[in-house]
Amino acid sequence: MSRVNTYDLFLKLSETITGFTRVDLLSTGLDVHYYEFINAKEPKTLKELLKKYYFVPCSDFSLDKSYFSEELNFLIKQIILLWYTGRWYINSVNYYYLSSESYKQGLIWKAINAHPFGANPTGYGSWGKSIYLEDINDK
Amino acid sequence: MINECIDVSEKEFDVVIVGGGIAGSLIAKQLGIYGKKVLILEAGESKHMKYLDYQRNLDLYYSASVKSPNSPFSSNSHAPQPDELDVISKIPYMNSKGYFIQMGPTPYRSDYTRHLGGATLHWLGTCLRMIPDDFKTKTKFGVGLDWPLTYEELRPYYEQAEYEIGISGEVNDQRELGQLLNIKEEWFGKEYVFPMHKIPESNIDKYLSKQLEGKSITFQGHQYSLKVTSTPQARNGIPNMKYRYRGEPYKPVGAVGNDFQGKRCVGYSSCVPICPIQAKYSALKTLDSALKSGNVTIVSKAVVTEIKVDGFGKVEKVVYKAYTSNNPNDFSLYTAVGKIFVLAANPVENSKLMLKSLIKNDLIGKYLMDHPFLLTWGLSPQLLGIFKGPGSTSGIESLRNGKFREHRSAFRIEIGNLGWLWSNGAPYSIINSLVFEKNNSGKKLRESTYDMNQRQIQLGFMLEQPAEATNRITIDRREKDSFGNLRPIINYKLSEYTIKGMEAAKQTASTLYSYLGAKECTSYTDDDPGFIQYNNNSYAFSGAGHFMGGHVMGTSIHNSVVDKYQKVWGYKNLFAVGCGSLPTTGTANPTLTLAALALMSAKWINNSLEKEKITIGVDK
Amino acid sequence: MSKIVSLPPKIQSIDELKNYLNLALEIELSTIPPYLVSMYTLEPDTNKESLEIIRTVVVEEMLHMLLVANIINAIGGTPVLNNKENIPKYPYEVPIKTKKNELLKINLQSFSREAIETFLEIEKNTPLDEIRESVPRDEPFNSIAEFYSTILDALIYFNNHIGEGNFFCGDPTKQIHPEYYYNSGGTSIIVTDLESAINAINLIIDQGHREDESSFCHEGPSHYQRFFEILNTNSEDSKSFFGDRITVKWDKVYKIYTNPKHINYKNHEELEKKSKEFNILYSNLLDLIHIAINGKPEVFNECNIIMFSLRNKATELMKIPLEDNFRAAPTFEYIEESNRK
Repeated sequence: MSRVNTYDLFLKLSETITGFTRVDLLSTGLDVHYYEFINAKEPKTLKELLKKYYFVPCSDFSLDKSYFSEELNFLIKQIILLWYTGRWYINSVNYYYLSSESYKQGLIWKAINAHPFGANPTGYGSWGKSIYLEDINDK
Repeated sequence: MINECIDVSEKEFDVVIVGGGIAGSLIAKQLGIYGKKVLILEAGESKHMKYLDYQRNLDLYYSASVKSPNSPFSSNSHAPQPDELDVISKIPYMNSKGYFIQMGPTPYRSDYTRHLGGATLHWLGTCLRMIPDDFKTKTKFGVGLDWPLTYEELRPYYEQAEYEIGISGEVNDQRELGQLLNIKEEWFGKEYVFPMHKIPESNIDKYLSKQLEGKSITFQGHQYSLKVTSTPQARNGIPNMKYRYRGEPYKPVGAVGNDFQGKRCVGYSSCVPICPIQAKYSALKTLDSALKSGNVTIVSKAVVTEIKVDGFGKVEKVVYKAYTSNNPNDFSLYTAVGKIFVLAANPVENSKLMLKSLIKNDLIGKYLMDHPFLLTWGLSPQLLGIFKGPGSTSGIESLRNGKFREHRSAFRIEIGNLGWLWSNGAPYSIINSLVFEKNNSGKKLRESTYDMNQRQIQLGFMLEQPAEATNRITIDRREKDSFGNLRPIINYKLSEYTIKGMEAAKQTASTLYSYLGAKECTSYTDDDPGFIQYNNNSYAFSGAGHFMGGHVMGTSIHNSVVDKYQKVWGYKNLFAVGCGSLPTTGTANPTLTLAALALMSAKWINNSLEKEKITIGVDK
Repeated sequence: MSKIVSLPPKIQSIDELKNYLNLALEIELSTIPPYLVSMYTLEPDTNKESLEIIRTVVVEEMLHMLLVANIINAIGGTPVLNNKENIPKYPYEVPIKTKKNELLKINLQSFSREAIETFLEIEKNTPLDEIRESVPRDEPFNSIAEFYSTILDALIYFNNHIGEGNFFCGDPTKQIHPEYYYNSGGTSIIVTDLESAINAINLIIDQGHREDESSFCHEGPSHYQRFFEILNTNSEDSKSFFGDRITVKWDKVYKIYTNPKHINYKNHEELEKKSKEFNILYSNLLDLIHIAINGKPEVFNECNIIMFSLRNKATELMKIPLEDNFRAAPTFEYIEESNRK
């Protein structure tokens, strides 16, 4: 697999496991950064994961079904949480933020229809409007 | 003028203020306007008075693993500060690895910030007035201490404080609450309005308000309403055109160093610990306007280590350590001279300084209090539209007063806008368990994450704590850190009166969740440092960040450290101001009250300086 | 106030004045998307000073729009913002001449020296003695300050000729009060007579186009001076916005195609959807501002919330890579209501 291919596969995998679209992932601006980070951190496991993922139908993906070894499943969980939180989990308890930008770009905020605390404010009084345009567009 | 670590011994000031937090800055501003020469000695940094430097604190917040109250305001070895994260256990010595030496038996769980601006840098901004009965709990309920002043005396200074801080609120909501609390006195003046309209209520405020309409709870045969009330807060909103202060309409004050930011809250939701645009008040704003009088000098990185008193009860000078780097030996000792000295640091620092300087009064350091905080949480049957806006915009305030105060603490209930953030680390905790424990992924994960976060209710119960002499701050000259700073020693225990309040709080929580049709999820585990068992039930309290007591005010040197103007008994020109002077906690977040007291002191200090001028005139 | 003026050649009737004021509204609006786009192209965590400087200009341009709307309403006109014809398309041609003697063109483009130079052209002033009393009907203006000065003359002329009460006959409830507009040095001015109209126009000229020390009612550097500082960070002539010298990193900027168009995203389904969402929101915003300035000022609070939402959507678009290191960008195209689904 060439670099471009594995990156692309990484994004496809990320779409499947996070439930976000490719454009959502790209709009964090951190896609390449995350890919390179994981590739540097866990090169072998990532390669293996992507190879295996290539043969799994997306529609059928689930962490419960044991397509993957425990090791691969753990890496999947790390990748999910990296996208959602901007944190790299060393185990299920300990983590660190990759950067302040990764904190701000955590997809969890979009998932819960909110915004990262301390960034991307929603405007005076927005907290008292249960439905406004953004909600309609996103739902 | 702001300077770092300079020598001011050649200059003479009218007033020397120790500590550049809200109390010190309000006094400095007033005296500066009156034309007095004022010096503020600030132990911490002052860089963040510049807009772009303030923004750098925000970066610390973004990248902090745990976004605790002090996460944007780093610790400084020359001016150490306690950190919430220092408390990790129920065993006192385990909690003593930071700045405080905790003697227990229960941990003191709050922290403060030693940077210019003080704890208003990381506060939430809730600005409730205390209720008149809070000023006479001994007389009225046989509990705690009485104040040497009445609510009526303080009321004009509350109004002034609400102007200086810049409060958004709806006074009619407070008036209605006053009736529920059975307040007979004039709590708010007849014509009074707050400077700005109330901050809009959040979705969850509105939901609770609707669900709890007409609902009540019974304690000892008395019925108490469970009404939701909008919170007056130190956050810029829409100016109320009816408001006048000395004839002038209110103009919101923006960020220090950037008048184009912060004139109205836009919902960053990070009030605690840092408002990125300074729409939330911090003492930096008051300091900025104090500097404009041209009469105020600020020296930062100047840790006052001793008060020097002559043989006649007159303070001559204070000694301060001016440090230039983060090296323990890199400092010089200088002195500052003035006519009047005002200790305006945190209650712990004020007490420590007086104890170290052998100020004569056995009560110094005693009556340390906080508002023990009991978090409860539940899941609503419906989606709430939360995780937006300021941390809290309304509360259930109708249980702050009643006959029950003879037996147990009163409390207010803070309605959280940010789900289980403080109780559970949401929204992160939710996704963590969905992924690691429940193996969720993909669309299902995304949907569950939304659903489980958007139904979270968090109600925080803020409990009254009466003054007890055994809860105290002391020092031991042998207990110093590696920089030579004395470490405060804290003895602290919750009395049965407060724990009974906790019991009532928990009952109230269960009642509320059932009215809301919500599933109560509160559970306290015995590894929580604040874990308590009482009558076979479990509780876990945390701190509210409200250090109170240490130099309480009273009617004489026998029952207090300061008089009602916060002048230290037995000393001609020494004041100790701030939350340390409060004899009772009531159930109001204390900053507004400390601000009112500081403004009253400022007026008194100015008058006494004027009198001195007249005396000098006569002598000539 | 008592200045005697003759009718400017360009404005011969009250209807023409109203049209010119609506043109002013259009010009003020036309500056906002270019400022925003240049701001959004700044990479995260870089050029924070420039970002803040541009942002402060944008909030004042918003104020200028409202001030113009207040003047239109005060003289009984109708400010228009919900009409495709009145919404700027880019490149947008402003009826004023540049140094090169061409009509000024404003582009949606990346933050760059060229972009800031255009911004300086927008905000430049004409020295008082060079402002022409009567700009001939078929000649362009030399500056926006001159454009406003012409409007001012017309206001004074009609006020003097038909009487203040007859001229300022608009419905006062349509005024956008200071309660609805917030943020930044300067607050909304309620226009009810000639004096308040003059104050409003002077505030616009003063905040935007001042080049020298003279100050009417505004403190701090003008827009011109703020942009000047970005281009000339170390110059002695720069007024410092933050009190300290700023740094500008011209290379820490996302590359975008100048004047991006939604139609260019048509091969890119998800991106097209996001871009359309942005334009729908932008169109909704303009419609709501139109409602706010036509008798429902309280709607302005809603507009505020949408602006934050727009910003968040724009910065997301900005991160989506296109070919050759270019990024997607918001296109700021008005979509008519019937096409918004």
